[in-house]
Amino acid sequence: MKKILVSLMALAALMMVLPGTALAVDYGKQKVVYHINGGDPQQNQLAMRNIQNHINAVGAENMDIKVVMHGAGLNLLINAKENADLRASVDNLKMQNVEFQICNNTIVGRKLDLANDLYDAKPADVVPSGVAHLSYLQAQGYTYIKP
Amino acid sequence: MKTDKPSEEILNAFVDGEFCPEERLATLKQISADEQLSREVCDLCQLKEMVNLAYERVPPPPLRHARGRSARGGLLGPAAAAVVMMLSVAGITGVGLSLQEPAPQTVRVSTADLSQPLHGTMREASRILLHVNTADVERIANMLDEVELLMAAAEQQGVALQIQVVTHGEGLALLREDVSPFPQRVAMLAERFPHHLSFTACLNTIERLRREENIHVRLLPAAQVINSGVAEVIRRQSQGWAYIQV
Repeated sequence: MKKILVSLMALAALMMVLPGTALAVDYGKQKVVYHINGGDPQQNQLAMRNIQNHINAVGAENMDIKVVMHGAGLNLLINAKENADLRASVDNLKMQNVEFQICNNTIVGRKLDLANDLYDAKPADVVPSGVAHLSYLQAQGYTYIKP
Repeated sequence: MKTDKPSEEILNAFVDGEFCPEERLATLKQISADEQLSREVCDLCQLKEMVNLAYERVPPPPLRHARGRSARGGLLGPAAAAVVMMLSVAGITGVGLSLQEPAPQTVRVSTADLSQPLHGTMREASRILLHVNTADVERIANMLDEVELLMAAAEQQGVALQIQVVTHGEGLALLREDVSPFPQRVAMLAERFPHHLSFTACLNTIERLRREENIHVRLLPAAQVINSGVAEVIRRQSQGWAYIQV
């Protein structure tokens, strides 16, 4: 009995050390585009969590993730300048090779300044049109997810 | 035997096939005895199908030319090159830009090597389904701006771009005569791009509004009726259309 208990505890410990091993599923490589066009900071924070959970399940090395923002979705990076939690989430995801892509039509339409209004945004992050870019990525085999 | 309406949990479990045969049969009897319930289950089934579809690993569309597909700075598919090319032109010339005082000097194009020649016509990327199930005015306004920009650029480039707007649920508001926030905009766009842009309305939603809320929907003249918004979304994706939820 004690033996069984010990081995159960060992198993439990193993599962804690190696999260996901008990439910290991080989998802292979995934190419995913997350679409964000809403500006609510809480919703956006949840979306960042969704992406992190996705990476945890599949493994950063197997993921090619793009986050395409347009319209009010740019508020994600605008709010990240003030909101430390959001900023940390963005930083964390970027360190795992998630790319944040910004719609130029929105930048022009809302008269935003890339360097000053958006958190950690570079010219290389800008795409001509959010909608066209979403369409383009899907044609390239990216799975579309609207969190 | 309980005759009360089964809880949402039970319905979900039913749809997901989590019941043993006896439980399933009992629930099925209960559902089929009730029209409202049948519809709910039908909606749940459709939702589940959609979720499954979204997560299915869809094989990449066949490309006519074998090409390298490095993610950045590499060769792009012809369709993609066409889209990006088209957009960059739109961005730079400000074609169809309905926004005030566009600032062309801020336009930066970084996704593709624009020296790539425009190959043939756009195929996969040229068909886009815009799924509207929200009445959020800001999102819809943004969508209409983008649609206008894209269509104008495609027209100028002589590129065949097909966009279908599918409205259902709350999204139907866009095409309802009584509550649409942008009736003139819809009419103008539909008239300007008659063969390349369509606005469609879900019959299921129209009928549900009549049945449950006694609303007799009158649609904008540009709207076309389709049987089911959800089914349309699935059908178009299986035909290779890009899918974007507004």
